[in-house]
Amino acid sequence: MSGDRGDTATALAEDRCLICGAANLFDAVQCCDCLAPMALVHDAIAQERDPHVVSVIGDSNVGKTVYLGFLLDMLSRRAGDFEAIPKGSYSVDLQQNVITNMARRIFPPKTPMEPNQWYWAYYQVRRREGGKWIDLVMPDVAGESLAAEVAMPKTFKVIRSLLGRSAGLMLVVDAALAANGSQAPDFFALKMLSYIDSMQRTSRNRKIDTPIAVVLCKSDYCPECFDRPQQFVEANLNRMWNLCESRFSCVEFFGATVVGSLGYATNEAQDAVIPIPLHTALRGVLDPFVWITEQIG
Amino acid sequence: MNNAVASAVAAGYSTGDNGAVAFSPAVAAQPQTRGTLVDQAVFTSIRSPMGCGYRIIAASPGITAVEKSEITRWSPSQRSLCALEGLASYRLSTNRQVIACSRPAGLEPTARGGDRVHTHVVVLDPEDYAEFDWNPIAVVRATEPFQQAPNLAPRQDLPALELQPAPQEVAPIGEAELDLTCAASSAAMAGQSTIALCSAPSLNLLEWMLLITPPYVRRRLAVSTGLNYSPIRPMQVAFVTADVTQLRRAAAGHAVQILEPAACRLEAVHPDEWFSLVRRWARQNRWNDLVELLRRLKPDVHPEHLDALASLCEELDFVQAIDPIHLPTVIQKYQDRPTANTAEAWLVQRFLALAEQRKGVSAPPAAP
Repeated sequence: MSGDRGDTATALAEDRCLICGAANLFDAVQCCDCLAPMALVHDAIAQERDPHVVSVIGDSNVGKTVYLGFLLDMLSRRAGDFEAIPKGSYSVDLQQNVITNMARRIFPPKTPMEPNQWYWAYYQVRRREGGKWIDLVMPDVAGESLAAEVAMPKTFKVIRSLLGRSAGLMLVVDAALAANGSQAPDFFALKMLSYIDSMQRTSRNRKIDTPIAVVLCKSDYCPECFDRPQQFVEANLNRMWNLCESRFSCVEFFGATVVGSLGYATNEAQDAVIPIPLHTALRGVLDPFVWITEQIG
Repeated sequence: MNNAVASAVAAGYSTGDNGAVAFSPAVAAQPQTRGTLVDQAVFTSIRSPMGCGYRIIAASPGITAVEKSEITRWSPSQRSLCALEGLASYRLSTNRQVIACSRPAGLEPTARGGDRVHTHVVVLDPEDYAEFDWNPIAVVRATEPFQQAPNLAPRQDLPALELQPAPQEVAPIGEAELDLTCAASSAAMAGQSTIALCSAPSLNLLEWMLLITPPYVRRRLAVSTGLNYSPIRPMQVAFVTADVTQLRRAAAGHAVQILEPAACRLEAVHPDEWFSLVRRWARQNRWNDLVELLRRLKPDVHPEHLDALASLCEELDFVQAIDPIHLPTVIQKYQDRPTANTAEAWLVQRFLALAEQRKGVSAPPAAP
């Protein structure tokens, strides 16, 4: 599922998009076809490695932006003995947006469906103890765009290109909703994995070997996700579990949480309930990333 | 007021500020006895058992899955409005025309900042769009009785809407705004995609831009107003309000030009005589005459015909100043003139009628 070697060299020579391969004008800031930033190509010039795309996918309001923002910030702070260098100032926008908002006890704004509004992060990372450098591109995709693409393929070409180009995936699932009995997280994950399966067009006898880290977010509501994530998924996300078992050979499950406690404010004028993140308590944020990089490396 | 002008006025012609005889005021369109049935859909963000977030939450059965996919891609989501009201009009791959009206609709359900955007979409067959003279604002006017407030809990299966064309109400615009609409119209006729920067994007501004563009061109245009620019919505003309630096960055490499109000000059627009006429009549407050003329533009009027139409209008304006001796010659010239389109034929007919009337008025009284 990852791109062929030499993609970057070809992309540079013809100003081709790193994600979809479309030809672009030399001054294009975003790809004319999939709207991925052309800076990804330009920033790969000095590297002697092809970047690996790791896509963070999940339903709307599951916490992709917050999870990815905190992950990148932890890497910037050398958590887990990682050394991480952002390539291009645009790579810092997402974590700045998340950390700044959370510090003010506000969730970051909803990610718009328009791809030109998405955050993209391009980081060089390695484990400090003699590890080799790997380049990672991690976009923050809108959940509604994912849902629309899954429901009707080719609605958002950038998503198809992105998933086709991804060396690894982080599928973020709302464990709290699942633990409460909602079937929505299971159905979304099932549709998402089915889409990936149909995109691969592998034979029935061959499983898909793209590493997929299933991140059970909001696990502070269901701490069993940290101790026994596989059993949790088998019990509460059974449809997804069965599909993973049948069609994917490289899947791992992780519990994660970012928000320590939530408050709720009401807005009388608008008849709305506003969730307030009172404090952060990160747990399990880095583990899926460590596993993915081990699979890719 | 001289006798010629007085008789013209008595015949129903209005005059501009300088006393030039102009065309009769626009007559309100006769209401149709049968409405036009159109499909509709609602695109917004609600929380429901089927999901949460921006999607088509309701649609009439006539909208196909392919059309829904395209509508989803083109529709604005969170933080996409740059005005109180947004409008987008574009053609689907099925050749049907979408007119989508977007408004703020309270807090977004997950309350993560910003207003929810509610978009009401109508989908018209090509022949139905022609009933509205290929003017999306006319379609919006016709849907107003059905849109008192954003509907956040519609039936999933919406009925088709029956629309009746409403009387046209176009408010005059200022000189700077007119320059911008002329420049945008000129770019559209030249096949150039344009973002027109203005302080207050409005339906009125967009409508003027569409009206001064002949139907031959405007029936295929994808246009918007009040929506932030996004390359995923490749509009041919978009009226936005935005920071120009960020806009230039977003538009780089997408073959889109940005029109800034200060840079819109008459000499940069083509066809130049046409836009000169539009500007002159606007300066003279001859808005009714302008609307009447624009109403006469049918699909047989191509951009290359507009300068000839403008010349005819100029000649009509000064027919009362011609020495009566020359009237027979002028009448003779226009009587045998071949016309390239219905608008030109109508102008020639008016010219001849006015000249004959003047000739009759200026003829010496018969001897007793």
